[in-house]
Amino acid sequence: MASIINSISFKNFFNYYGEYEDTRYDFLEGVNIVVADNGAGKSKFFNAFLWLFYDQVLDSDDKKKKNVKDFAVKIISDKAKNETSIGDQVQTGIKIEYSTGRYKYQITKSFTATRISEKITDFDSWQITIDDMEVDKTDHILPKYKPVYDAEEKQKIINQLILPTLRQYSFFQGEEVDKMIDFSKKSSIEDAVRTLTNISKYEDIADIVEYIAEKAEKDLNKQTKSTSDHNDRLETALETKKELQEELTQETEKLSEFNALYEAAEQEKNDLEQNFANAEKRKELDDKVSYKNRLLKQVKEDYDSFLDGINNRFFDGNFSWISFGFEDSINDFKEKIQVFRQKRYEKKALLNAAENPNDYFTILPSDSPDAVTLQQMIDSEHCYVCNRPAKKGTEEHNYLLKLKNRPHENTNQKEFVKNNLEDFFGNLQLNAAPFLNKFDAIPTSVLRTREKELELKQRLDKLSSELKALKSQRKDILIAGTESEGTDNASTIINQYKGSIRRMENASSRIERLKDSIKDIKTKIVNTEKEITNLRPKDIPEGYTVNYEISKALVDATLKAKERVFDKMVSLLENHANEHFQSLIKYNDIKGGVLRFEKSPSGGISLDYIDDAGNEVSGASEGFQRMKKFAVVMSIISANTSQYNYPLLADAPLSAFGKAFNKGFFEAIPEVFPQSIILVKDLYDKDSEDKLTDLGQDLMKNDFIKTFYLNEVDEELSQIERTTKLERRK
Amino acid sequence: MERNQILREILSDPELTEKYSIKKNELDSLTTSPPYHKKIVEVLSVIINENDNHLNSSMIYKKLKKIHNI
Amino acid sequence: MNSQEFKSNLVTKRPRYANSRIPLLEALANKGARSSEYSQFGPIYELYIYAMMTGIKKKTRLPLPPRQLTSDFLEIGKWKRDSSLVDFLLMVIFTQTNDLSIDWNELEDMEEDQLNKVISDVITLIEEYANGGLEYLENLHKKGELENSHYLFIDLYKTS
Repeated sequence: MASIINSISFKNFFNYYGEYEDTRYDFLEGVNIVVADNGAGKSKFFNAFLWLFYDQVLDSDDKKKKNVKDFAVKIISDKAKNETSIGDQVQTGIKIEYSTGRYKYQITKSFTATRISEKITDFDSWQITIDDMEVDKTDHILPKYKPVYDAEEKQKIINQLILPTLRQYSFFQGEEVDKMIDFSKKSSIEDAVRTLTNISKYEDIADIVEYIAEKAEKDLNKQTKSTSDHNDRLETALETKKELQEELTQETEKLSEFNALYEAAEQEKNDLEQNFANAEKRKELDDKVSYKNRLLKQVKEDYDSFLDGINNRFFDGNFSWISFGFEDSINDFKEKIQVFRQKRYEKKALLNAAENPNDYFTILPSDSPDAVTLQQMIDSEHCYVCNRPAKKGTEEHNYLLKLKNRPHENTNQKEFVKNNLEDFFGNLQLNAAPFLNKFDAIPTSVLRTREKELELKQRLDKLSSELKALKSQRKDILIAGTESEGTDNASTIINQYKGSIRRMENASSRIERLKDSIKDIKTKIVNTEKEITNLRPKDIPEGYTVNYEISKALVDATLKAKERVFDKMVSLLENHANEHFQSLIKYNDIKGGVLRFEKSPSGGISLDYIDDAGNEVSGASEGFQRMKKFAVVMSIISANTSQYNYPLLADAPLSAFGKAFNKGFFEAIPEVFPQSIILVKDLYDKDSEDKLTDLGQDLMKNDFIKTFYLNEVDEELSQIERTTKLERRK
Repeated sequence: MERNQILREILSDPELTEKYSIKKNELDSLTTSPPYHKKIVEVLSVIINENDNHLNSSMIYKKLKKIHNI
Repeated sequence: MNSQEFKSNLVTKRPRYANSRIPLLEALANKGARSSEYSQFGPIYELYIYAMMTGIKKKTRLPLPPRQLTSDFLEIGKWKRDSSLVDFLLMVIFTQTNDLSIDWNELEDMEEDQLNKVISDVITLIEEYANGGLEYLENLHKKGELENSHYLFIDLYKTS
């Protein structure tokens, strides 16, 4: 007998403005899809059920659940609020119809708000009264709703929709799947098993039996003491047993302490596991980033100092840019200095002649040339006197040289100028040498400078973009819950992770030793008990011994039975989970592999994916991880030995799944849930003609899908006017 | 019935079946209602039944003592 | 006066610039401080040399305002550690004989006070060509035509 939701209607509920009839979703058995973008009513859908079951709604601002009464003003549709004048009232509510095989029910929950002052959004501006919950009932043959008055029956009807203990597995929002099924937490699987089995009964019985065994032993010992055949050895044995039992209690306590430590460390490790993998990657990238940073800094420095140095090339003799355009000036200078020297020479010669006329004229033959002419003749390699060539190396030339070089009698080199500036000008030319030969080279030099600058800039840009890419890679590796990007963070996580593994190992070895020791003690106790039995007086009424023995036997048997029931259920869950998993991944390329529930020393269960070769597969995609968990959730529902008769209301993050998963998902869900209502946003494409993505269009055509709704919000309208319009496509 | 299921599960323990000579077909037909063919079956049935009736441990023990005539 | 003395007298002089040029000097020379949107020279004398050579290229000589409106700075001899630059500049300067109205050979026969006058004329020439160059730069600056690039100065120099 399945419960099937027939319809959900909203009145002035968040974005849904208007009467119940205006916002009504009709659903059928099978898969129903409601496409809604964020803000277009997706989470509001859930809120309706939160209200129905728990009288709460989820505050989308802080993601916390709030009581309907306290939060009422925000629940009322903005548009409706706006239309309500002071003194008037507005009603907000939800209405759900569902059927079982026999009956159909209608549940209405609402509240009335009276406006008492101006500010619409102020909680104080409204007076809220919660209306009585209305529950109506009809049979299918003659449908006419009749109200249900009995409070207990009303509650029963609500519970019938989705069984309270199974609500968490059939009614959830996407991210919650992750939270719900965290198998590293021992309690998570225990809760599931508890829901599915009568294990609590076994626990009750185990407690009772333990109590009885204690009492039986006490009674037996009392009897033993009261008989006349009391003896010392028995006394000693009883004492020994008592001591051993105390020791056992202590060791058992220690064991549970270490189990707790192990669990805590394991929990931490699991929490960090994802982060650890990320942290290692991040650390690697961090190292790369800091290396690149250093390089970049170096190159930047080089580049900057290069740029700064460009203008130095004006004044640096190696480049001599300042000389550009002054070639003519310099040639001018060279001419001038030649003229200058020539004139000086002439001056000097004249002075010499004037000073030493005799020198000049007596030594040479009367028609000998004067010194200047002599020099000219030597230079031009021609004798003007005889008008004959006197080439260098010839006898004639040598004779001229001899004449010129004849010793002067008077070698007083009197200064022939007041200020001898020959050196001044000459040295200028000599010293300025680096600047005098670069004129032609300057344009090339400038070009080369530009090229070098470009080169450096390119290197800089390349490094920069490499660095950027590294940084963005690093950013993509999210470390959940840690907003900071510091390298310390990555190292901390790595250390924490390693620390928790160490603690697990330590605890594990202690646990082993304790278990051994406990086993030892138990054996000793058993032996002591045998001794005691032998030593007991034979004339104790049988009832006492039988009582004692039976209760003792039952203690162990009950505990073991409980274990078996637990293990059987886990095994059953494993089988179901694998079945569901296979149908979920039917269209994916994943080869072989099974889900394995591994029991940890502390009694927790870890969910592993083992491939064909028996190796653990980890690090798979997000969609894959979700699928694993969905498989387990579904197994919890289907392993429920009675057929699961409740609808699934789920928020499916299809984009995280991927196309192949989606197909598998929509086919596998109906295997477990007679009815499912899936809310998605990933099928919405506002730019496409029918507002659906490709996947959305595919699903529309799929026979599995029975109804298909599209929620839309007109974003052009103002906040107040913005309401959700629903459109039924199928 | 759940009670029977629990009874059988606990008594299916190998040590018990051996010690108290409970045969397989016997085990499969055990119920928590009388008549009881073995003491241990009676004791456990009482515990299971009275637990469902919300009797506490000491009250259950009193009943058991009567069974054992002590 | 001999060559050494002549040179020494010359290079110990400190050329002057108009105070009104100070903003421009600060914009285009940084003396080690970083703070301009334009390419910069380092010390002021670099800018000064540049301006003077630009002035000489463009043949723009601009007299300075009265002395009290001017300031001096580093002596010529101390411009750049090695003297090849200064000697080169002097080569160019002494080529402007028309400007200087001197004949090199005549220099050698002048009296000391005359020579000193020549020296002072040379300095004036330097100052006025520099002023002309600075005026040119300032006009470009005012018109916003100074390019904000590291090649500002060389580009300008090449087109002058």
